[in-house]
Amino acid sequence: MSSGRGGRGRRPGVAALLPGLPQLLRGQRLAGFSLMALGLSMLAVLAFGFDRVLATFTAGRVDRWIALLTLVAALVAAWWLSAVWAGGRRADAVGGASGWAIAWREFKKNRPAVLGLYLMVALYLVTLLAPYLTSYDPTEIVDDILSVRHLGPSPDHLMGTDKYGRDVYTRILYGARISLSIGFIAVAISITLGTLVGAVSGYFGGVVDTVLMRFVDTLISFPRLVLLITVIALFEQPSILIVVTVLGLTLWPSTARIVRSEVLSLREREFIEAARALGLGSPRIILRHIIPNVLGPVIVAATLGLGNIILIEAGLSFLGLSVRPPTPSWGVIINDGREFLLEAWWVSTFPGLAIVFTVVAFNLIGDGLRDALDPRLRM
Amino acid sequence: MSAPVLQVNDLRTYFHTADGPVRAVDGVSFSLERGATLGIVGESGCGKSITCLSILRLIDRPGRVEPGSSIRLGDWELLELSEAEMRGVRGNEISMIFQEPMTSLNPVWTIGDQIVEAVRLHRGFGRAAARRRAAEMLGLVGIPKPAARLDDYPHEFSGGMRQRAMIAMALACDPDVLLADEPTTALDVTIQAEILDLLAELQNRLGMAIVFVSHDLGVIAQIADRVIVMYAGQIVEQGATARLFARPRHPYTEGLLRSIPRVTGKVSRLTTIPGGVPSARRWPAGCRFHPRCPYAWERCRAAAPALLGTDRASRCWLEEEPLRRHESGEAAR
Repeated sequence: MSSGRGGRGRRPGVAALLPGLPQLLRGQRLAGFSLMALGLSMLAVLAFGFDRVLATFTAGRVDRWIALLTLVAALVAAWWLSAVWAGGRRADAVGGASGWAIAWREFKKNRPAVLGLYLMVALYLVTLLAPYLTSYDPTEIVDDILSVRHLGPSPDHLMGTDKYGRDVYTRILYGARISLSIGFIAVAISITLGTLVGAVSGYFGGVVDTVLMRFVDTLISFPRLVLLITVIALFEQPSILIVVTVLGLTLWPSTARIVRSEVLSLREREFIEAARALGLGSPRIILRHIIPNVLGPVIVAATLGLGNIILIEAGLSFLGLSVRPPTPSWGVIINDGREFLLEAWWVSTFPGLAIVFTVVAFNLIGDGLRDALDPRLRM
Repeated sequence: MSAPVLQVNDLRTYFHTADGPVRAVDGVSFSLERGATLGIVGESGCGKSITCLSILRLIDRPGRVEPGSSIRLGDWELLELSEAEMRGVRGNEISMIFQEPMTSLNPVWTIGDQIVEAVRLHRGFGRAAARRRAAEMLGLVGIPKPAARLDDYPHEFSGGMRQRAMIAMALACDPDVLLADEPTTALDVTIQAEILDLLAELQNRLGMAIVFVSHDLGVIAQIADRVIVMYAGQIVEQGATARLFARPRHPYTEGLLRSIPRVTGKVSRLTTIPGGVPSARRWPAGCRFHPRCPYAWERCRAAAPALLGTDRASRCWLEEEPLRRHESGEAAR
């Protein structure tokens, strides 16, 4: 992106006023609305939660500092990007377009996918900014439980309170941290492992392929939930770290299969032969020439897997096999409300909706990416 | 005559499948001097490409270069090098360019990335020096504004430009030998001529030897000093280009030359060689060409001729009984 073109401060007055406005004036609706929404929502957080933001300096808790950092970074980004892009962003670059630029152009056309992307960004912002979005504590139980337990949704408690009088809205906010980071790390582990195994298996073929793929078949043939329960039950106290690792280590086989089948066709392409004729070694060919070319399907698998893992984690915590109860995770909250579904429907319903929205968001993004990264669009 | 840079002796590449060995290349020998161009012609499946890949030792299992074969590059016996040493030869001493310029470049990296990779690997250049070298090479192969085009992706190049980029990549480390496996087949005729001129010019300037594989006799006639005609995994005829094309000795070469459509002269049915290339799993007994040969007689069915002659040679019993050519020639007509 050339920031030099056209001068970056062509309309400094307008850009300084409201982020996204210069883009909207020039008809770049997506960029304009995004920047404006980002800027305004951050301002709103600052305005409505000003005392909470101030409390950061006295509370001395790490997550509050992270929240502050996120807030400042998001504010700066909204204004700065607005000013930079106002200069001379090429509307639609023709020359110098890499495969990724083309993919982004395709992705933007897909409205549901863009909506999913918004939802995902919002989710991660909410996760990071949680302390500024609520004044309650997610785990603290007040002494006078009976007066606050199972209160219905009200302006004081947007999503009501649970059987210990804890604010459900607050617990969902903090639970998002657990659910999203478990999803993220587990996907990272399974994707890395799956891609490597799949690429090695597909590239070398022969005995290597047979051994690795029979191992993958064996892993896939176990019912997933039973496997997870068995492995997690081996540990007396399943910590988040253990749950994440186990999830990551049990979910890689499907990625390995996708990658392997891609590599099988890729291996026959002439540029791999050409790379060998240039004297490149196998590790280098796999890392530099094979893996970048299978990244498309891998990214799609990762996005779809993220939603899947959040679901599995919720299921595990519902069964009491994931994080321990005082710590909020969406599955734990649903489990808390299970016994009181008729008297206090809100306890289980709202975390359930959170899971639905998150999974739908990731699936929309995954579908969008699948279309955008379709290799037939390349060349 | 200088010492040969590349000397291939009795090269045999077999694929050991479950149904027995497939003798794809069966006893090919040739040598190549610095700055010379050797053309290899033949139908699809006659072992041309396998010969090239064997020289680079890029034959995958179940294929194997059989013991007893020899490929000498200068003073090195390539078949005795370790895999790591061989990687130092590929792209550095011997390079190869391929038929499909559309697919021989990795679509996710820029042209520059791909040339730089080869240069850094073999020459140990730094990033900046390798980039300069890459730009220099792109300029050398006739791409305008080379420094700017380094950052283009393959899909932004046309077919001819991609083949030029491939040539730049192959020559970036100044190899002694360039193996060109049908490099012009996928290009249209005008681009084909440009690439041939470019190769000839680069050869003048850089002095590498070229092995030029093609099924197109016209292209071979234009670029090669010497020609090898391959059939069924063997050399059936060899000789200096002009003489070989003017007076083919092997019936197969004769057939090939007759099958070229002519623009001048009266329009008639295209001449073809009857039959198809036999399966490499089971070559015909005796002379491998005899089932399709218009002159074949008892001797051809019974015994396989050796490559008769030295500099100018033909694998045909007609070398020993030239009179038969006229007799059966009449009969065939």
